[in-house]
Amino acid sequence: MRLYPISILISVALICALLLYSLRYARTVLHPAEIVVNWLMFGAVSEHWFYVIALLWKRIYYDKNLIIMSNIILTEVVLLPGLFVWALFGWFHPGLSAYQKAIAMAWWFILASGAKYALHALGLTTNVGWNQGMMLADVGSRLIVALAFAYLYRNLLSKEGYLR
Amino acid sequence: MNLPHRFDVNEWFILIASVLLYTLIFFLPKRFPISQSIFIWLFNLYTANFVDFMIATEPLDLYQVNDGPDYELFDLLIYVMLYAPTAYLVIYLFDRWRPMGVKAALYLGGWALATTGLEEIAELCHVFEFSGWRHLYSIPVYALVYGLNLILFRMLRLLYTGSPKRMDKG
Repeated sequence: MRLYPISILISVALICALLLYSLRYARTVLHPAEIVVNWLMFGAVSEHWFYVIALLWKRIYYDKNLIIMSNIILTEVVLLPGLFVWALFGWFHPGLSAYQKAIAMAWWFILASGAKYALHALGLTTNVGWNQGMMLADVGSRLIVALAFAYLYRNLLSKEGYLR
Repeated sequence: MNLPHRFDVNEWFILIASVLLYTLIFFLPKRFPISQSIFIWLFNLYTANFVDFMIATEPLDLYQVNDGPDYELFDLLIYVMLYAPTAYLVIYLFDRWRPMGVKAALYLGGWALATTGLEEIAELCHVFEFSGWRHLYSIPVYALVYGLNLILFRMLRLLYTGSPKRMDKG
């Protein structure tokens, strides 16, 4: 039983490493600064928001164990932002129709909420006055805020002359 | 968001230090595009958040920030108003003076010592309450974080060289 969170951590770390490596290919559509800044923005907001839900509102409980915390933190600060950059790749891709862009966002939504649900289903987090509906609303609101920021940053880059 | 239990010396310290730092930054001549300054700001917000969550909460719980173990408004202000502008100043002055070799190491060491000094003052003002952490540990941590800031910022600027603006100039 003790090995259980470690095996999850190894899997999460491997997925995160592959995801980070894959982000170099997002450069065909996104400016490198956009990739880094959107990734950092999503990670910082995600982590802060997790702080608020888990530590301030005490709605999500987790064992105070470094391995379990690392699993949660890797998901919040590496996995979700990495996936978000790929969602932006789809969203800003000039060759995709509005319908295809919506599908890219829907995939992000499914994978992001799936990752959070997996942590819960594997027993790493316990909901206390928090449910799957709230989790979906949380993921959805993050998506809207992050997308708004991505537009602002893209606009800024293009005003500074770094994007055509 | 929780408000402070009592509005006393730690809250005043955060407010005064934030106003001083941002006043200094706004009066400095602009050196980087805003898109790069946003990177510095976000990177330090991200790093401070991450480190604090890992070492200032259970199981390690090496120090406590502000009035109690609960997360409160002024905890957030520390990340947003204190850490990020300090790192901006480190990068700004490095870019202006461009120290090389030993001078660069001394520059980083100097900033690490100065920030640790400020941390001691912050502890006296009850912004931090250490329960396992020591100021001595902060020196290499700050040196590492500032070094990482400088390396990543340099990398980011290299990434800008492929941008249309630079290509037009070339």
